[in-house]
Amino acid sequence: MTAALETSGLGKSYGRGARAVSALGALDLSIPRGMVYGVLGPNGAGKSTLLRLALGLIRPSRGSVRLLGENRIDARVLRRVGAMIEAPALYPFLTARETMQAFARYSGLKDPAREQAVLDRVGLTAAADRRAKTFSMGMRQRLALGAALLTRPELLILDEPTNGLDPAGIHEMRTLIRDLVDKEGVTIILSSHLLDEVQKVCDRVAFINRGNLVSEGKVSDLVAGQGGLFLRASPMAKAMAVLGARGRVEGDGMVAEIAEADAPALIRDLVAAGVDVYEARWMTQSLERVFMSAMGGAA
Amino acid sequence: MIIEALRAELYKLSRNRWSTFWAFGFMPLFALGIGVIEQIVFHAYMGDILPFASPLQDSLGGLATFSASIFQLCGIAGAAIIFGGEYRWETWRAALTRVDRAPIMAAKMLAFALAISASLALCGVARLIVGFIDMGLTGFATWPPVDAGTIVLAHLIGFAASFLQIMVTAAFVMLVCVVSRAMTAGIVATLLTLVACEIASLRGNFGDDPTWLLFPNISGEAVRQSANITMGGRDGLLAHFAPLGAAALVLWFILLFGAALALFMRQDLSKE
Repeated sequence: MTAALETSGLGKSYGRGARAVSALGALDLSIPRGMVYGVLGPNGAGKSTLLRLALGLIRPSRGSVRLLGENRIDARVLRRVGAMIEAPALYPFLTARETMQAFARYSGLKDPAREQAVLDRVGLTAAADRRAKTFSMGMRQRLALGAALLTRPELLILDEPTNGLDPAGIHEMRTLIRDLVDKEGVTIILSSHLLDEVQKVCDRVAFINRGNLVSEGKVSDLVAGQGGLFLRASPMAKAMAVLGARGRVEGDGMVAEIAEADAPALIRDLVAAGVDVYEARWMTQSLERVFMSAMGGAA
Repeated sequence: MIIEALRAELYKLSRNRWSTFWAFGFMPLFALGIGVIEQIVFHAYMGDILPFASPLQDSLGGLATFSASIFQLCGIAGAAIIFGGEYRWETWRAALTRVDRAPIMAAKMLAFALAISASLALCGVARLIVGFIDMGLTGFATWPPVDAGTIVLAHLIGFAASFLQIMVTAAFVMLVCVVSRAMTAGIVATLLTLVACEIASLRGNFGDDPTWLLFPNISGEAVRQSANITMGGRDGLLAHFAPLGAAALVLWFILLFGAALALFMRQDLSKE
């Protein structure tokens, strides 16, 4: 099966000569179908540039991009894609329902039931006849997502989809994203700054910094093997002596940097050495720490 | 795809009621309102300048409503909303994932053409109504010394003159909006350019040199004068340049629209 998005030496520079600013270096990336793929990076890393290049909104300075297996990015392929890039793009004079109707017309869609179903799905039924300009940021975000879902896309590109959403909204968005992938087979590419959210919802991620790919892989692989055993034990000095080079003090306890499988043996060793263990908890490595490490502290 | 885009553009215009009214609905109402006030003032307080009405000449005059730059202001605003709105609301990124660039720009131009045609036709109707009010008040009317078919032809020529002239203006608005990515720039730059053209081309009204037809206002006037002659009116100094004038307007439209489209096709929408 072809990749959802494939780039080869993809780059974008603005300006010419000495004044040229590179927004994207030479990116080689292949995003498989049927999963949530996170594109992560600090501000100015080139995430939005990548997404805009994928949608044909900007032209590459070098390299190529293939969207859903197509080299030529035009409306024929873009109608199989739903997108929400940066701030929600909405007409202020249209109501939520009219927004759906306008975008349905642009897409050549004649299915009023679908428009209503999408409004229901993004939780805007009650506000369907209110103008978009009166909406809060969270509601605008929902409406833009609804517009992106209108054509039942194979691929959904979401740039900071949880911006402006309250915690309940973020949870709903997460559920919706997982449902779209798990139940409807949609591929989702999302960029976000909320690494905790990304870790919860994404299957694979790519770290981009200064327009270049820094690291890429399955979320479970990236965070696996980099965890540690958190211990609260007394006396601490004796416990640290048992841990040796594998231990470091963290807060009111210690972290033993060992493989998860070695944890029971270590606890037994501590007890045998006369250490009282009050708490032993396996800590998974957070994506944030992986991200910071990949960025070299640049984030 | 162009039909789908046109349906969306017309739908958006129909829902953006307030802006659409000022852009396309105000001028016919203005033509009617000013006409009625003019009749009341002349008949009730000042006395008739002419003791007879000419409703069909009035309606032909109504079709010339957009001849002067100041009267094109509403149309310019309408064009700026259609061509510059997507930049202002940052909605290109939503629209262009549904329709290709060329069809959407063509659809926008078609939507403007349809809306301004309706506006222009209503201006003609408004002045016709005023002409009949005049007839009712003076009790006497004159009619063109030509048959009905020629009257219709004259009106079509008059309509075409104003229509082509404002379509050139609309293409200029489109070009400015694409270059500047701003709706307001489209309005201000176009209006200033039209005023400058009118001032610079005053001598062109003498009709002695076809070079002046490079100014769209002179070209439009030439076609309008030929409409007047067709309906048995007096000769105009520019009327003999009418075919050349029409060709100049079409050429201007193609050049400006083509330039705007070519730029838009290559434009990076990194930030609308």
